[in-house]
Amino acid sequence: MENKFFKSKIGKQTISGVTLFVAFPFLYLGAHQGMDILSIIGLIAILISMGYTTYLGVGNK
Amino acid sequence: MDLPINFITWMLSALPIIVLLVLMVRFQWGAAEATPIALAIVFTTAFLVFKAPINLVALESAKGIWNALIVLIVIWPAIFIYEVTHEAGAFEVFKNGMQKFSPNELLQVIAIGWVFVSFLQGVTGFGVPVAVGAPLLTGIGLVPLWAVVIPLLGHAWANTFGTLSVAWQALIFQTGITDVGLINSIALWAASFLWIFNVITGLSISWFYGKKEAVKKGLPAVLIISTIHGGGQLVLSQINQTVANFVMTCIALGVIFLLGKTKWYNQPWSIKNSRIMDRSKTVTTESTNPNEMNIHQAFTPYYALTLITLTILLIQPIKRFLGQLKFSFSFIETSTGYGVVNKAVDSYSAFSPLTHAGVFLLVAAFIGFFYFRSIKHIGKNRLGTIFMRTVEKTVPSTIAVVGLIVMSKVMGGTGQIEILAVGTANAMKGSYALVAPLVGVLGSFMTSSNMASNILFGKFQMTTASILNVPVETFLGAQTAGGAIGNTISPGNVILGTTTAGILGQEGKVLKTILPIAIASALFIGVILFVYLMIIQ
Repeated sequence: MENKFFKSKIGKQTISGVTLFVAFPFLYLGAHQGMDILSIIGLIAILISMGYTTYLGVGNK
Repeated sequence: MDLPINFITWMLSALPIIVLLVLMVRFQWGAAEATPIALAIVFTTAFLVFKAPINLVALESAKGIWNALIVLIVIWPAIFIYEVTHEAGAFEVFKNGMQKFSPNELLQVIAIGWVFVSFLQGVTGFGVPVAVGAPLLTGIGLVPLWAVVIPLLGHAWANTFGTLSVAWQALIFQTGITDVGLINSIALWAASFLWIFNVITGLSISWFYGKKEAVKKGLPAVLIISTIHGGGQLVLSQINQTVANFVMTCIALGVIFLLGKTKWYNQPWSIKNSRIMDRSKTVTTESTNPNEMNIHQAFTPYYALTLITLTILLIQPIKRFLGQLKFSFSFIETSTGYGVVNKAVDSYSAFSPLTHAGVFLLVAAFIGFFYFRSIKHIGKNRLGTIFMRTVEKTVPSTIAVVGLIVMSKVMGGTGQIEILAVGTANAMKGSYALVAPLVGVLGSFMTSSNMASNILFGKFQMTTASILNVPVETFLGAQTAGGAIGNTISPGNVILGTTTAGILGQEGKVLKTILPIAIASALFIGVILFVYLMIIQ
């Protein structure tokens, strides 16, 4: 059942959505601790997860 | 600050908004699909054009995610309350029950799509009117697209003085005005403009239902309700701005029930080929017989929502006690290469869960769930199914809301929103009054919030008024009225409606319908302001 969920479109979108929130500590700590690499990871995570949403919605049409 | 404000930077700042609108309106992409493209443009221009360092973009993005979470805490339970109500088959009961309130179909639409959602804006806000109003309207038989359009329009006028006046307070706080006479004067202008928009929305809803014939039929209700909504708010805004909207939306809610008993609306009346009604619509129920439930039982979650909200927000000792629990983050100062500074904050956008509309919705949803289960309108072991349906509906809107708010924060933090506003004012010069409300619209469109729009542009409008040597109250009134109008088209609000109405992905169609009304309304207010300023000068 779990596999089925994560293979479905909504399951994939859920991973994207969760990734957006996972990015928060990277962005926050990266900027506050002066560790740009963490901030970059956070920003890339946002772009990839959101880009994936566009792909799922538009690329699959 | 040496922010370059010229045509190129103005165009680059406008580019993400243009791309977003084109993808949604022209190509009919959903907000969840279009937002990432616009966000990628914002990130690119922030680094390459507006000299933003990584830590600035990272922190503005983090602020955006935090703000989005606070908004999403409304969306998630709003969908949940809808799913609980749907599972119980209560929407069919609403449809039948509304016949008893008034057999006049237009009045039913006005009652929910204008009067009830305005009441919800008066007490809650945060998107609740749209999230709750859309499924109620589909429940009485509206085509889902119109079930989203109507509450978006219907609630917007109440944004400035609604939610116990938070957007208004933000405007006054941001501008630093303390002179009571001037504050009342700003309130007078704001309430006058909002009254105009209130009349426009009432007439628009009637027009959508059945063009001239419906406008004629709905005119008594529109005039009476608008006098209470807009006129009453105007009068009360001179006495107590905090409750000016709340009191009048409560009175209007009572009056609409009385109107249903008058000769105008106590006879069956409908327009057979109304484009907003789906005559073939029947609400399917999965496990219950809706005929056994009366309308008051069906309304249980919404009664609970109203009661909880009024109790907590209006009884100050309770509000203060529950409001003690707060969560927030501190943020360090950041600045761009052009000197745009985002000041350090100790407690950014504090979240008080126990006084937040999302928690009221969640509690109301559970009260509804257990009540419906106790009267056997929801079967055993259905909570999991309801929860899964909620997740399916909320995930795409979650992604879009996060993306949109991150986008607006990065644009604001890198000076792009300022470029749009100042650039427009510079280009318009003496004719700026014409577009002053549109600046408010822009702020709300970007942030999904009248309050945020006022925080973004309140000071700017005041400065512009001083430079142009016009009364400051006129531009500030136009600002907040524009901010209220902008809520009709902000993608964040639109998503709330499309999600609860079950048409997620059709945000472009909704925008296409509302955009002309919103822009025309803002311009109309701008023209009135322009003519007034021409006369007095």
